[in-house]
Amino acid sequence: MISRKTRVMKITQNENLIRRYLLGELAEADQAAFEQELLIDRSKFEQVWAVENELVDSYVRGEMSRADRKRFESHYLASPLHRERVAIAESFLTDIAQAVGERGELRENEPVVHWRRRFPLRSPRPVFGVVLVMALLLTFSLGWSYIERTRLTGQIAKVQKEAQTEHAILRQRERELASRNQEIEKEIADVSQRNEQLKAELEQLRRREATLSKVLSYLLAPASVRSQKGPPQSTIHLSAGKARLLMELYNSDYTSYQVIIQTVEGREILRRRTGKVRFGKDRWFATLPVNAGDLTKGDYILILFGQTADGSSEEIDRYFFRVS
Amino acid sequence: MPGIARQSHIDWEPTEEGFAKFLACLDPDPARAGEKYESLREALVKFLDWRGALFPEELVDETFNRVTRKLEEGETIRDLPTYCHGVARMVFLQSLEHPANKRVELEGLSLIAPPEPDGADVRRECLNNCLRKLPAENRELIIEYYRKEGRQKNYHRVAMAERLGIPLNALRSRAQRIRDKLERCVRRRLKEHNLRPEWKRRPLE
Repeated sequence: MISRKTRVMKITQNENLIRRYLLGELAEADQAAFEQELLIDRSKFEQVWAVENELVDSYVRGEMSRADRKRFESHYLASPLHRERVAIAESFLTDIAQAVGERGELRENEPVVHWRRRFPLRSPRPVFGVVLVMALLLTFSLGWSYIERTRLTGQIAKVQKEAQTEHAILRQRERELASRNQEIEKEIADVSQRNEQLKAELEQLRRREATLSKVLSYLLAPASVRSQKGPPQSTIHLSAGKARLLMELYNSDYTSYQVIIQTVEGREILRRRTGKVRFGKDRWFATLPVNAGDLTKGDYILILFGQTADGSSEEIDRYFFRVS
Repeated sequence: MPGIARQSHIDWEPTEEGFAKFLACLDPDPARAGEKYESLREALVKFLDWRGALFPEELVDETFNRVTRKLEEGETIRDLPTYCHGVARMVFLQSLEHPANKRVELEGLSLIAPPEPDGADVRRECLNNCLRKLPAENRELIIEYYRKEGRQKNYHRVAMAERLGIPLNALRSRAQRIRDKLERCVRRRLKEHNLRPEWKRRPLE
């Protein structure tokens, strides 16, 4: 990437080359090569033409440095066609200046002096020496300030152009960022929504877990109540994890209780001591907590024994139930 | 002002077929070839002008005649603009051999050319006539373009380009072309004026 300074230097070099070409300072080969470039690059051709007009105008307006003026007069004005061009430019610029002056606008520079009158004027009288030197200094400073101004104007134009380009790039970036922002906002909204869903799901799971962690109590009816052979009276759902089996005691005089669970085929599954609990005013129940791992699906018989004070054990009742 | 260009011009004229060959060499599409022809002609005229030719347009006509003749003779030219540029340089150098086409430095000129007290007035009158003949839009543009000078000039032109809604380069190019047209018109009128007998020279129109 070429820096601004390099570009400005290139422009200045380019303009110097154009000036040298127009003032006949290039060798024939360089001149031919330069014209070849102009044949290919139309914008450069236009630039040379513009520099020529600038040279003519600055000569007519007396804005040229002494050295440039000398070169201009010795080469450019050697052509009658160019002399006529300068004369026409002088008429034109003077007319315009007068027209502007008539309109009450101020001119910046001194009135144009006819080049034909100015050129042969080489006064030998030393009395004008000081004035001449001052005039030359003034011309030189004017010329220098003109070159500086042209250079700075070029730089300003470049900087303005670059600023415009940068501005356009920034606006483009701004648009891209706004678009990206919208996307991010949408993503945030989506994530929030998903979060809410997950929270809801989590809440559901917690509720389910809470439900699952509840211990359900099943009241078993003694087998004697069954009138006939049939399905067990109680069905216990052990998928919940835990359950409590309750067997009502009509005689609660036993010191302790024992429970044996066996399959309907008579295979013993579980034997456990248990206590009794009171519900309400005077209802007593023997309780047996069971876990999901204790029993598989199937039909079971629960035998409840009571321990008497002398240590003997009596069967109190039998209960049928089904685990699902 | 006789020169080499004029002599050859009389000797040989390109045929319509030759000119068609010349154009076809520039571009197969006739419309584009026409544009390229104009562009090449303008560039060569300016090159010879910048080199100090007295009659650059005639020298370029002579250049095109010579190249066309080559084409008619069956010569194959690959890069016609470059070829024409080479021929134009040669024609220009040949033209310098003629005494009438010698360059005269301004210092020398001041010794031989008598002052023209009325020259500026005549020129101004020609200029005003030519300005009046320009389309109003072009006249306003050229006057406005050159209205400011000094440090205000560049800012004024940038503002003008912005106002017209065109790039500065385009404005510069437009002003150059109008200026060129104006200059040609003034030269033509001055020539006409100088050809008249002295008693007829005023008024100009």
